[in-house]
Amino acid sequence: MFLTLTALVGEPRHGYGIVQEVERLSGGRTQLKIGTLYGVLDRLATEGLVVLDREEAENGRLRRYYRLTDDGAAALEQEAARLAENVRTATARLRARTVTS
Amino acid sequence: MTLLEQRYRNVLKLLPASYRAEREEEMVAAFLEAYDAPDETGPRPPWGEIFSVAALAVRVRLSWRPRGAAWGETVRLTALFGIGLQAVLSSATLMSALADPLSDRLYEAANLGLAICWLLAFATLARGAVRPARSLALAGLAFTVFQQVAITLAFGDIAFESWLGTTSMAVVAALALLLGHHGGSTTPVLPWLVIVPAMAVGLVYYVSASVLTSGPAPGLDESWMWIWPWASGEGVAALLLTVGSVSALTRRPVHAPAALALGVLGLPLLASRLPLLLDHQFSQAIVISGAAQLALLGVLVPALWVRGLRAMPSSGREDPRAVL
Repeated sequence: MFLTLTALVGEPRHGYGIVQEVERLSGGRTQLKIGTLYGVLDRLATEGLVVLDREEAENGRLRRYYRLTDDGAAALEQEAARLAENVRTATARLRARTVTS
Repeated sequence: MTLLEQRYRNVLKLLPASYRAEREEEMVAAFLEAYDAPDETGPRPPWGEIFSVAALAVRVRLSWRPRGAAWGETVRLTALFGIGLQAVLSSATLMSALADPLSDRLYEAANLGLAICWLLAFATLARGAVRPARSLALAGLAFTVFQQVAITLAFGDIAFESWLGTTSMAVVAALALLLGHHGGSTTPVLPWLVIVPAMAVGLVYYVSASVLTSGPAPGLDESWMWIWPWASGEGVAALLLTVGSVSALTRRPVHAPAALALGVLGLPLLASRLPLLLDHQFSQAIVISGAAQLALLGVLVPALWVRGLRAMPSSGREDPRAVL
C-alpha cells in the first residue's frame, strides 16, 4: 500500500501505470500482480485514500486513472514519518554499536 | 480476442459476477499491457497472476460478510418486532378472555392459549432464550391459525383482513424466528423495563377499546366508525408500525435492519387494509378512515424499504467510480 500510494503522488495513474511505477520505485524488487493491485486499490478506495480521476479508452481498452486524495496524502505522510523514525532508530543503534566495538 | 485475453478472462471468472461487471475490462487491459503475446506461442496467464486473482476472489467474497450480517439482523429483528406485536395483541386478548369469558370453551381455550404462548414467546425471545421462544411461537401460531379457521367456519365467510394482516404477520414472525437465529448469531437481550411496558401497550389498547365500545353517548356509533380501522388488531398493528416507522425513518443514521424489518412486516399489513376499500358493506366513515390509513402505510412501507436498502452496509468494497 505504501508503494502504491507513493506511485500516485504527483500524477494520477492507471492500473498498469501503477504496476510500472511501483516496480521502478522499489528498484525492481516489487512486481505487483494485477489481482493484487486491484485488491489494494479496492482497499485504498474504501478508506478514501484514492479516488477515480478519469476514464480513457486506449486502443479500444478501458483505462481508469486513480489519484491520491488529501486523506491519502496525509496517510502516506504519516506512514513515511513512521518509517523514517524506524530508520533513525536503526541508524542510531548501528552507530552506537560501531562506537562501542 | 487473443488467446491470452480469452484465457485471462476465464481466470477472472473466479471473481463474483458483480465484481467482474465493474472491473473485468480494466483488469484485462492492465494485464494485456503487461503480458500481451501472439497466439502462436500458446500463451497462458502466469501462475502468479492466477494466484493473485484467486486471492482477490476470496477477499471480495469474504468482504460481503457485513451485508450478510445486516440481513441476518434484519431477519432477527423481523422476528422480534413481529412477535412483539403478537404479544401486544395477546395482552388485550388475555384481558378480554379474563374479563368476559366466551361460552364456546374450545374457542376460549384457543384464545387463552394463543395469548399466553405469544406473550411468553416475546418475553423469552427478548431475554435471549431463542429455543423456548421458537417452541412457544410455533404453538402461538398454531393457536392463531386454529382461531382463524374457527372464525371462518363459524361465520361462513373468510376474514381476509385478519388472514392477510395479523395472521400473515404471525407466520412471517415465526418463520423469521426459525430462520434468523443460528449458532453464530448474536441474540440481543432486552431489559425487563423495556419488555414489560411493551407488553402493557396491549392493556392500554384493551382499556381504550372497552371504553369506546361501552359508552352510551349519543353519536358514538358514527365516532366508532371513524376509529374502527385503527381499533381492530390490524389497526393497532398499523398504529404501532406508524410509530415505529417514523422513529426508524427519522433516526440518523438510519438503522437498516430495523427499517427493513418494519418494511417486511408492513407488506402483509398493507395488503390487509385493501378489503376495507373493496368491501361495499362498510360505512363511508370506515372507508374514508381506512383509505387514510392505507395511504399512510402506502407511504411509510416503501419508504422503509428504500431507506433501509440504501442504508445497508456495502459489501465492504466501495465502488471507486462512485466518487468521480
